Amino acid sequence: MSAELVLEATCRMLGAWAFLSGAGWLVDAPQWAGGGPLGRDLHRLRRSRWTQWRPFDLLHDSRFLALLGGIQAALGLWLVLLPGQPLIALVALGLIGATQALRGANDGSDKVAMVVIAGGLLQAAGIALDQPVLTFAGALWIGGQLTLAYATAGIAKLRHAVWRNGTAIQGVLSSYMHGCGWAARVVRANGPAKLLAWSVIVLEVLFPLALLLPTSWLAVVLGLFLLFHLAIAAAMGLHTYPLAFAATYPATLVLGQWLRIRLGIG
Amino acid sequence: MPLSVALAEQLAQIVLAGVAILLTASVLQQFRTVGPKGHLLDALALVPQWKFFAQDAVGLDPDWSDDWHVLARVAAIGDATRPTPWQPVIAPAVRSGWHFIWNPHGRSQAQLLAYAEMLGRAHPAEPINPAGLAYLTLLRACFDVVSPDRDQALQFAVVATRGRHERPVFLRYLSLWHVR
Repeated sequence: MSAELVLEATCRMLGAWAFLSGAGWLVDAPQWAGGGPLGRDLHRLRRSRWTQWRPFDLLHDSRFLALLGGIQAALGLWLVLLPGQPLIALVALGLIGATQALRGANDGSDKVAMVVIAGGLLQAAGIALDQPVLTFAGALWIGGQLTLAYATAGIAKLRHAVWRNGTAIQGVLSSYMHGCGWAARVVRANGPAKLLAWSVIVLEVLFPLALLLPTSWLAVVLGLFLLFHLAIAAAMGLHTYPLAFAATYPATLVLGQWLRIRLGIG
Repeated sequence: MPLSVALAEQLAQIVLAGVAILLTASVLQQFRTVGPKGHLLDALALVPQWKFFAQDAVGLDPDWSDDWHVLARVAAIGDATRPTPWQPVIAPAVRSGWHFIWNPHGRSQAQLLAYAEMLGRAHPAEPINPAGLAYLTLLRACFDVVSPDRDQALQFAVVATRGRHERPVFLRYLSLWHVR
């Protein structure tokens, strides 16, 4: 796998995520308009130095939010169509992501995308400057964070009795906020709920070991995780997560390959 | 070796060391309770914390996966004894097949429901501040939807429901009466 191909695959998936997420902000921006329930004028009532600062108004302006969404969607299209020239688009997406983080409006998929943006920038800089160490640093950042994310999420679930006995997954998927009708029916009985909960826990906890598998096997494991994220998107409406996570997979394959070579099993 | 190439190699090594340090800090972050500074580093994904649907509160509260709703009613000013029936204002949207690929209002809806949950979960020993952001946001949403007349006052309630079958309803918070 050449570094250029890895970066192109990463950028195409990140671009698709950016398009979807940016278009979402564009459509949702009126909900955050001043005078409405989520308007910035209410936030200004919090008399902290930060909320009284002029740029705070701009950050919370719904028109600015729509503009950011539009730019993000356009940058996403750029990355999908021209993944070989990603540097400026990645820098701009990073700045937009940082702005959303300052607003306190980012979710888990935004965080995963920020990891990909930072790692993608390092990879792009490494290719441009012909510095394989820099390219590897990008893959290490993305693959390392993905491994940490899956393992931590699995261990955190394993610690809770309600996850181990299946009632957590029943509760989540039976709710209207995070679940849906078909998913609630799947976990209605205790057996399937427990089986599903343990499948998620085992997959997540053991993911670091998957890095030691041959590349084709690691790709199969990542394919399973992609199916897992697609199922979550269908059941829970978290539609931006599959693309954000998929964007981490090319770099994770590189990290796995490097690890096996270092350990003498590649 | 030209100086610029040597410098670039050194810089690349420094960046790699920086990445290794941030990854190590991220591992440690998973075991910590995040403070305000940690929240920003988390949001910027520089030192992120990953606990998808397994936060510390999971399992401690029996109601951690409840659905939160905001209802409102109005009554004549000075006579709260004959209010109108409760009217739904904010509720989780029923999932549609489209949400699989397109769910643009998910964020704003999640934010409103997070405020409802904040009030609903408030400890009785720590009274809610009616001038607080969560309270005012929900109050404004209720005034927007219900639009009481000038001679009417409005009250809202935060209730929780559990599951999809029996769906027991729990009253979690009752606001003061408000006029425009």
